[in-house]
Amino acid sequence: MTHSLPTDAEIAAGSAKVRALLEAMNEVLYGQEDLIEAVVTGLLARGHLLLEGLPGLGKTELVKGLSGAIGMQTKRVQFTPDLLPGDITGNPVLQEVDGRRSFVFQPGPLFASLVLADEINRASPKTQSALLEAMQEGHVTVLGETHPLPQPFFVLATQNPIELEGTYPLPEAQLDRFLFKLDVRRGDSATLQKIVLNREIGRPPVVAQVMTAAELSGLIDLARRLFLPEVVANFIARLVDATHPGQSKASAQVRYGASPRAALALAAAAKARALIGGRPNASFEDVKAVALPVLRHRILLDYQARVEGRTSTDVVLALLAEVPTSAADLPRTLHTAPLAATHG
Amino acid sequence: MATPSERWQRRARQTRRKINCGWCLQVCATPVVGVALGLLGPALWARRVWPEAAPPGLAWVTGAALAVIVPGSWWLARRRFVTAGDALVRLEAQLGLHNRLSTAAAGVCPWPPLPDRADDGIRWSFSNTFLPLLAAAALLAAAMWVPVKARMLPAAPDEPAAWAATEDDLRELARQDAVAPESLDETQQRIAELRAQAAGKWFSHASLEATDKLRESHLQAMAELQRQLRMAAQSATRLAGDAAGELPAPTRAGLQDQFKQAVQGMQAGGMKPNKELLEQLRNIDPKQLRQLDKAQMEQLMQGMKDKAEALGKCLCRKAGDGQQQEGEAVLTESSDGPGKGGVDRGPGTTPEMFGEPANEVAAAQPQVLDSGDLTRALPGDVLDVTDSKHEVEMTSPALRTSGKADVQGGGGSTWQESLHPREQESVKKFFE
Repeated sequence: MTHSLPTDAEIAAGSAKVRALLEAMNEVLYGQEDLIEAVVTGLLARGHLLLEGLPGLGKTELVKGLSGAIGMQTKRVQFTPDLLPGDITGNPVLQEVDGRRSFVFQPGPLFASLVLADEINRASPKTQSALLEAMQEGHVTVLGETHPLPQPFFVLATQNPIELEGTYPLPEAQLDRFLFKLDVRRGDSATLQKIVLNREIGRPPVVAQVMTAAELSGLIDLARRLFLPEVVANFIARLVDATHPGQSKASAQVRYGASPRAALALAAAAKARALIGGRPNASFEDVKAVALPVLRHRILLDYQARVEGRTSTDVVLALLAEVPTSAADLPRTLHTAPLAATHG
Repeated sequence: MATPSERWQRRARQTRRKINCGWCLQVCATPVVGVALGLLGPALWARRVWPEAAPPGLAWVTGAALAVIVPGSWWLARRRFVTAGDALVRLEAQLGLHNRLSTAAAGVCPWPPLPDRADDGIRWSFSNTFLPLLAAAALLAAAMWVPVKARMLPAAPDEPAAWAATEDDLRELARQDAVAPESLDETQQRIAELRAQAAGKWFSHASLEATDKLRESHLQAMAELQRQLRMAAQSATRLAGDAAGELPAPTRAGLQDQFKQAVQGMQAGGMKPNKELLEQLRNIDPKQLRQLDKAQMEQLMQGMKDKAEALGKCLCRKAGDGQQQEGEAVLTESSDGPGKGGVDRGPGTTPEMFGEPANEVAAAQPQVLDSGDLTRALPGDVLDVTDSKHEVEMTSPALRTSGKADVQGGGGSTWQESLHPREQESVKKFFE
């Protein structure tokens, strides 16, 4: 894989644009700075995101604000059990023109740059598959005819961790298609106060557009071109490998570990985070920062872990503590002092 | 002025050295402690057995072990060694540099300036590094300096004193050239045979008996030779001094025979004199002794005198040393009497002895006093003992009591008439 490394000026400009986007988003969603940064990181890594959280925490608002800030075409689909694949991909419609009848493809809601798949776990597996095929391939096929989706194409799916009656949990293979799985948490009282003071029911917030879809594509390309040091790639590889049973202490109760796609996702997300930070390279810190949203939905725990109440989040945190950044071990005669304050 | 790259690389090399040294210490800790543990026992034993030679030996062994362990540890630890690149990664991770050093090393971005205190965050673990080494050092110090009682090695058993005395005689005689070497060789050979036995049998009854016989025959041979030398010298002196022929013929003939017998005795004896002297004596005709000039005579006499003196010297030494019996000597040597041994010495046992203690006061036996001063003799002292026949009166005694004589009457009337009344009562009781 050869591509030219970005210059410092390009990186600085790109970082500035991303920061402007983050600021704009923070104007819309109060107290969710980390979530917003994670979402933007996911976009810059060209990934689809799965947001999990209780109703009313601002998931939909987040997506709407994002679409407004970027100026991308956005569509929202509320997933229900009776939703059919054709309802989201589009259907051929019989049309008569000059006395001749023919099927004309009518694009569904997937044909947008930013698709909000609300409560994706309520749709049937068939519909979920249609969506996930579009996410993976970047096109849809209807009646043997392939229709490319607009680029960039992002799916931001949400799911509710409660009210699981009548839902269809996403299979692991499909979860793997999501770059991040983000937990949306409620804000503290100060955040709530801010929301109460600045927002009203029924009046959606107005978000200023800070960049275009083309500029976002440029930033995505810029992030992809950032330098990934070999030692960081080695750390990613060891981290992903350690998720498999028997490869580490932390993975003792893991049934299935993360796939190579997880390693690619980690690298892409680390680069995207480096761009946000205005750095020319991805680093250990970037990998550690994105490891939790990248890995936690890709690790399947065994029955014993579930009985004990362990979650994949616990496993990922344990892995981060266990796997050293440097491949070269330290002898027992030496130990590492606590990390110094971040330099530079 | 070093560039940031050079400064970072130098700093990375320092970290690399520290980590690699840590690996070496980790690998060598176990064998060092193992060797120290393994050396402890043998070292204490060696110090007990060889108090003088053990400490330097232990130092040498320790040095040799370290000479093997240190390179061996380096060799084994080598595969775990880190490179300067690995050290750079540690530095950038510790300093929170977001892998800027790795990126700079790849030529993607410039090297950042080296901060004044670029701590790699790697610290020595006292418990894992120095405790094993201290433990090993303590073990070695204990092996070297813990007080150990030196073992009392069993002394080589003393051989019978008669052997040494006889050998001293043989050496003295050989040194003085008083006796023909062949005569000495035989005795020496017999001593060697006795000594060739197992040491435990040196003091066996048979061995001591053989030793005594050997010693006795040796002394007898020396005494015999000395006697014959003296006899020859005496007769030769008298014959040589009779230049004027004043000695009566029988006396002269007797002296000549005496000289001849002495020479023949020397030739036939178990111990022969110096070969040269013997040859000289053999060639002398006793009848011609008067014709020897004075110088020749003096030389001959001096030769015989020297040899006799040498023999006498050995015999005199025997007289002084021979007072102590072999068995007593052994018992004296082996007994743990007071004043012997080390810190654990005790009161010791009483000297052992053979047989019953001798009765020092032989009151019942008459003894002859050497003193000739009879004026100081005490009553009861035996003044003289003579060996003579008892004077027995051969005639029949005629007992006469109270004027009656009854030689033929037998004893019947005797006890009735000559005994006291109490005696008569006793005899009467006996025969009742």
